[in-house]
Amino acid sequence: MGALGVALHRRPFGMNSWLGRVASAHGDQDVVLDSVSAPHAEFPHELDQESRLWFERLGSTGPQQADAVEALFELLHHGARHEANRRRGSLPPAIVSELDDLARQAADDAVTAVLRKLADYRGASRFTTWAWKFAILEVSATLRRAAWRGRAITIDDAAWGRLADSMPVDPLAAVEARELVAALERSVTTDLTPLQRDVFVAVVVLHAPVDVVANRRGTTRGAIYKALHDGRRTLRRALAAQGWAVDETGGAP
Amino acid sequence: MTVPLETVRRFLGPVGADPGCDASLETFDLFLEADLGGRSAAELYPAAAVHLEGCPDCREDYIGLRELVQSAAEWPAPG
Repeated sequence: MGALGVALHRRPFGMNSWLGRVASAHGDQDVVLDSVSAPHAEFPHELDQESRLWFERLGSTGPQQADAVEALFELLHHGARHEANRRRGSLPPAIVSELDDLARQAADDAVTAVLRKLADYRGASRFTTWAWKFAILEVSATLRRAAWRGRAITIDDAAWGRLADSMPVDPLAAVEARELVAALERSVTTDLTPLQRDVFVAVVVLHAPVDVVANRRGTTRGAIYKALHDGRRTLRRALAAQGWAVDETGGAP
Repeated sequence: MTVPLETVRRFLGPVGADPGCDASLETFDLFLEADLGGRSAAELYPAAAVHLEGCPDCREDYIGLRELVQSAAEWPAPG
């Protein structure tokens, strides 16, 4: 039970509750809030009227709560569709044809996430901004995985060269960028742990999304980013030791 | 050696305290509203600003959230 007295479960489609209406419209499972009591949270921030309504009605009981959850789905579905459409141009055609379904699934999952986190909402931002964050996270992770479905994250001999080629047009800077990439490649091989090396190559060299790397390794975005962050710190020190100005002043002379 | 800062940062990420994805995501909405409100979000939430520069996924998600909020400033509460 959360601070609001909210217990969340997934219940098979067709249960005889207000949930059934939501489930029949949006999928074969949905969230059930049991034993809900009115929220009594003390907000450290002054809530705007709209945000207070969202919070109170999602934490209420009966039809009012059911209506609020359906409204929440509409809010999050709008957010998920907006983000899916924003990314449309960068997605493979096969994924574009699935966008509506993927956005709907992501909105369903975001409803679950919002209801689970509702007790943590402190009113520091508008409710819609706070809730849309979950829709964006769900749909973006879904789209990244879908876009990379069937694609191997494998480095080829030319990958490091392409990295250097994509760098500055200024001839002097381009030469030094190639030298930096060469030094970087050596340091990646010798100074990083296997995990740090794999993550650095996947994300920085091959531009694989952190989410995709995390999904394939059965871990979280945060865990993979930490490996990237730690690896970058090691590389920064190793390159600095070789005379590269990669400390607080970056690459400036 | 004079490789531009932008190049170095692309490979090695920004310098500064980076709280990671989970902690940064917690402040995404606050950072965004400060940003859209004309306040200096990077000064108010410096660690989140560092993270957004270093993490491509979080940066892309932030851009998406920003565009979404800008496009739908008013959304009615449940009736």
